[in-house]
Amino acid sequence: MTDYTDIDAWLDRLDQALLRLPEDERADIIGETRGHLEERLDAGLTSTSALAGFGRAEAYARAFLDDYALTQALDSRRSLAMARVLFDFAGRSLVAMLGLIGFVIFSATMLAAVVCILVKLVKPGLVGLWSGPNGVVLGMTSHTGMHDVLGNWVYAVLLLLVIIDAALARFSLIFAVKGVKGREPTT
Amino acid sequence: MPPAADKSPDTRRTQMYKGVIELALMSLLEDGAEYGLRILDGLRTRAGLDLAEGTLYPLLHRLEKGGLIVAEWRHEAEASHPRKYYRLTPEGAAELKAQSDIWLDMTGRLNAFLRRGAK
Repeated sequence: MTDYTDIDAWLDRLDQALLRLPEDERADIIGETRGHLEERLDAGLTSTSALAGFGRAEAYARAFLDDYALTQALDSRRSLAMARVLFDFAGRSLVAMLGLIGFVIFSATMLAAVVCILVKLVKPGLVGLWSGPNGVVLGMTSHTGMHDVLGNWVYAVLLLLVIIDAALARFSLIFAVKGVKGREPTT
Repeated sequence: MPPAADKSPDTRRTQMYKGVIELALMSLLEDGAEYGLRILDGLRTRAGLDLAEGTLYPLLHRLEKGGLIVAEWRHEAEASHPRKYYRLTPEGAAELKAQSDIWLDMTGRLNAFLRRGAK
């Protein structure tokens, strides 16, 4: 097998690994990489030496794919797309993991507030800002001897909580995706 | 987390490189448009950065997407294939200036600090 055949085989694997990228972008990367490798061979290097700096085709492709996935998720402005891409990165990025944890916590709190609003609409006596010997509880409580201090104003409090939690959940995602994007690719 | 003593010199160097490769690359392009292989050789010989192809090209890709550099394919007589040349955009030049100012200020202070014992 000649050095040029080795290069062709490596580039084929790279092309396969980059299939998720748009065609023009993929062709651009392949063309540039081929030019670099052939220029090294023309200068007298072996294919092994020329390819050493690129590493495995799949690992080299990953840097481009990661950047593409993060950019797509950010540009989509969709929370689920950002959460999905952070999930993919969570095993190798602390920032992604923290962003996901923040998203889950704030989303769960937001969902709880929405549930409380719905329950309050159906059974107004069950939801409130309860005060009593055990302290203060927002939402539903099983403790006896507590009285509701807000009445219908609890709707405003719960709505505010929904808005704040939604903003914080989204902020967690955007902050984490931008953080991960800023940290790669470097190795 | 492993103790700092477990880190090899190579690991330390790699971590420090991460912050300066982008700056050195933009600085190199300030001298004029270049293509990948020449950028790589320039960073190795002129800036002393021993980076790999697998680091350079994704970085060029990312800077291009970020609008800091722009690329164009050129067909040159002496080359058997077209070459992709990169040059700084005005945004890239502004970013280079900002990063250079920070780097020079920071390293100036740090160098003085690290050499305090030698005085």
